Amino acid sequence: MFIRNVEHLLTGFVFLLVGTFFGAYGLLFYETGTIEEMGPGWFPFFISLGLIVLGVIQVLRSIATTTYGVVSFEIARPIFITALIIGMSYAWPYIGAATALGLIMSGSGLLNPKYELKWFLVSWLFIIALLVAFKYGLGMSVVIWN
Amino acid sequence: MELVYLGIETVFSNYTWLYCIFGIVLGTLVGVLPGLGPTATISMLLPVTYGLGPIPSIIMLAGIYYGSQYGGSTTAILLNTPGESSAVMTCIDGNKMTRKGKAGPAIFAAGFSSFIAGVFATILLVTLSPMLSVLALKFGPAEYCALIGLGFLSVGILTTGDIFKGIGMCFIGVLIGTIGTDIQTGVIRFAFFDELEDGISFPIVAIGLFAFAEIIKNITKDEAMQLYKGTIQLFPSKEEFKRIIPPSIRGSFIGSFLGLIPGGSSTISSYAAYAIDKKYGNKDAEYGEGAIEGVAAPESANNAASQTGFIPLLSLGIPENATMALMLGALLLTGIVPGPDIVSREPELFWGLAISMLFGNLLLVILNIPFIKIWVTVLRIPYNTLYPIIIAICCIGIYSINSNVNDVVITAVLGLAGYVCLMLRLEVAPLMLGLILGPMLEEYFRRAMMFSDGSFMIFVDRPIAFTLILCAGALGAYGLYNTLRNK
Repeated sequence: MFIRNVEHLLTGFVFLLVGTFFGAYGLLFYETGTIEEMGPGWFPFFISLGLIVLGVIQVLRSIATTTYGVVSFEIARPIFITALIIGMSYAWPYIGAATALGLIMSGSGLLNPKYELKWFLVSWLFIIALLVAFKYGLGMSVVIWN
Repeated sequence: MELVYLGIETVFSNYTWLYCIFGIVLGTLVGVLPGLGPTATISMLLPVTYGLGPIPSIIMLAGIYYGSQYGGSTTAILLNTPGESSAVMTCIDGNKMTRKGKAGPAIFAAGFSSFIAGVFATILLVTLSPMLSVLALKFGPAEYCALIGLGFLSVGILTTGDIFKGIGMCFIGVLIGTIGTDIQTGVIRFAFFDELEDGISFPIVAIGLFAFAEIIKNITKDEAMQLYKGTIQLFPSKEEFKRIIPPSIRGSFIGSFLGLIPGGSSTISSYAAYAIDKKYGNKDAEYGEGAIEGVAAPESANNAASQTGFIPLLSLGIPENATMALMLGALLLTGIVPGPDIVSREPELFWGLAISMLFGNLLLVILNIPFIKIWVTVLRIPYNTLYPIIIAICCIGIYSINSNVNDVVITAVLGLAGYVCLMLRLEVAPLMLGLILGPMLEEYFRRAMMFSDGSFMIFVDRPIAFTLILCAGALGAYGLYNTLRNK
């Protein structure tokens, strides 16, 4: 058995993972009912089943196909930027939106060696102005400074 | 024609046109800002409608609606971020055009094709309105299910070229759409924390899977972070202008028809118009690589559908989306009760609205041409400098929806998931369609099965549903053949 197309294989795994998660969780925790009187679990279960079937097909295609497909990922920078946004979102109520967003901008800017301080300051001032407009113009409930 | 004159008189008396202008300007602004969509804006303005009266208020709210669609297409073209679900298809070619220095023609094509659609839909309204209400009444749960199924197949096949990947992404979207409260039983499903009890709202998923994913991809691919250094074209050439018109007419026709079907929506029509144009349109156009036809077709379709979508809203009281539902609320607040006889009962309202849309679409083109220069100036800022501020603006937009930081967290996680999808060449557009239409599909499928005592023969016995199923079957066979041929 030889995997010729990694793209099909990984796609299949994604479908299997999502399908199995929703299908199993739905089956365990929600009533399925009958087709005439569907419970809350009926529809998600059958869609999950369809997704699992498609996942199996994709895995089989990765072996049966005659075309090669490679996938290249980068892990460090995507994880860093996602973690930065998540971390600052949770810090937002404690340090204020202006500081949290300033840290998101400066942190994500670090990924680019050419990012300049003057651009950061101009962008940050713009963001603070936007926050003020949202808070006082549109009545958004937000703590700008803390 | 008398009714058209009545509409013109309604719009240009009592400063009603001013409300139309206010609506489209506000709509364009909220459409450009990611996150703050027309639903939030209209909900904020609902109390104002008490004092305005039914006609000015519905004209203003309609202006916000289609103005936001135009604004949404601007962000789709420039930043690959659809401000509205109906602008998802515009991202594909619109953003590619931007990367080739053709942001100006793309924005112009969006505005001009919307105007063509506005004219087309108004002509249709004038000539076909009595029949249209009757057609809308023929759609029951089985027809909706068949229509949505056809939509899934066409989008799944035609956007990805791989039936398995396309349908798989639709299914993932449908499953994400089941998160939240089940309307029929009241059971909360897959809500692992409180914020998910009402489901994941569209802007969160759209910004996560499109904007954040695109930013992450660009950061990881250093060559993609290079600024476009060529001349940025502001207006289309004569040849490009000519290429806008045929897809706009096709898109207008498709959008006008699909908009009539309650639940057909501007989103489905933009998908369908793109798919059909890709198949039968200009053979020389490189769809998916920055073809101006790929902007004109979905933009004309979504605009036409949003216009004819008022027929099911006004005649049947069925809103096609949350924004329309709010407009229905505004109508009821001002004492207008929708019904099949509304065209004859409230002619000023119906025809005033139709003419105001025509007027508003013309104004959108005129008002936004000077803005093209401002929008494309944004592109002069190096992407390396721009992306941190785009992230921050997106965060503010997401936070503004529910004033909740957890929404920002969900968007960030979806951004990472979107990046994985991009790397696996999994198109996100079918997922978005599944997310939007999934809850409707579940509801209509439930009803269809309830009416038929669980028999699938309901899809065969009803002629419209059966025709749609046959179309879906033919499309599925074609998609399967293509996929297997390419292996």
